[in-house]
Amino acid sequence: VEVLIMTDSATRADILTFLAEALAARDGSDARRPESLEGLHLVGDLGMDSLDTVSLFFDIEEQFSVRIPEGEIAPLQLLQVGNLVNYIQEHGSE
Amino acid sequence: MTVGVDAIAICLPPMVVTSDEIVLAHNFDKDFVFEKLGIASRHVLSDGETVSWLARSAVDELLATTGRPAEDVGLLIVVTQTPDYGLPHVSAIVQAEAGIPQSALVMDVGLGCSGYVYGLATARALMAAEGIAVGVLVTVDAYSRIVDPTERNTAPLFGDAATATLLVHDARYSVGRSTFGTDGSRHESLIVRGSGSTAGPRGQLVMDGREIFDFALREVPKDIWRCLELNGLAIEDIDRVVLHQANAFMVKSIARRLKLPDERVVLEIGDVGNTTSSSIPIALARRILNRPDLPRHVLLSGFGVGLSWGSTILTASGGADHDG
Repeated sequence: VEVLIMTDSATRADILTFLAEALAARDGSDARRPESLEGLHLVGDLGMDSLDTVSLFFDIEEQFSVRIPEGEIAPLQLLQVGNLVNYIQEHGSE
Repeated sequence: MTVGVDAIAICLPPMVVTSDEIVLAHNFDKDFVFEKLGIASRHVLSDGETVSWLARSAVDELLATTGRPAEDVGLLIVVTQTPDYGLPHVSAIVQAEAGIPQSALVMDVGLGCSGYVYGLATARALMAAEGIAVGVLVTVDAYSRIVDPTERNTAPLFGDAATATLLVHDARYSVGRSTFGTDGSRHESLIVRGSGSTAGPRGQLVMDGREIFDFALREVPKDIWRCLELNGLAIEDIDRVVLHQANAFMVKSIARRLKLPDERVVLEIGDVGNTTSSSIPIALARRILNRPDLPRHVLLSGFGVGLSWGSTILTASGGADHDG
């Protein structure tokens, strides 16, 4: 995954594109259309396991200068891509 | 001439627990354990077997295969965090049972997965300073005694093992300069509460997997770059990288961050699991030291409980450059 320099807060499209590329790099598949990810669940729909999600959150934290606390993942349903994007937009570059 | 690694003996307890058994008993995801963690089986101590017995067996094996008499050993360091007793130290028991002289420098080092690097650096410095000709560095742990067998984070991961490394001044591999790191503010990320002198019932291993993963991916690559610089080498100079074998996913993730080609990264975990401080010497013994053509530069990096980390570089005496 190419590391982009995020100047101001990332747009929703930026984040979805990053996620699409990150997911493709992880399983070696062609990148999905970014907008198609919005309603998907990282585990239920995209088949990620606990190590995949830990690794993805690590990449997201580095890319968007955001901290995703473990205690907020379940209450905020951050395994749902749309919720995750919202969270990154709200807390990125803090 | 600097102190270095000449030979390594491995001792694994006879009892084997397969990942099939663990998956079946606890309804774990089979692909996750076999493919992601990369672990098919592990050895565990049986009732009546002890950590000091495992350590002593590794020392006996090392001395027998190298033809070194126990009377020659002037230093014995045992790296462990699962000793037989709160006190005395394991190395004292091993000293007596292996027939190592009472005049030897004998002590334990209380470290986990970074312990082999720290043990090498400690032994190297003490042997040089005190004029000791022959040293033995033991790594031994029995996490089967502290892991909850139903805990999803830890049960499929760990195996019991001991190794014994022969350290001499004219060794097949010299030990270079080492780098070290500790972040004690995160010590609760991997902890056995109630196992020391603090109040509370005896506990079992608790691991914050995400915290450990984040720590390893942030600190280990930085430490490796620092170690390369300290030794005047570039990553391209390194023929093999032996990381602590935490699990296959972790090893591959760190290697990816270092942009290392797969063929230079040793993965040796399938039949032993994560053996904490023994994982690096097991990989060294099985994948490096048994080769007729020793890779010239081998980078070692250990990381884990503490949180603690450290890296060093082994350089072969007359080894071939970049043997691929």
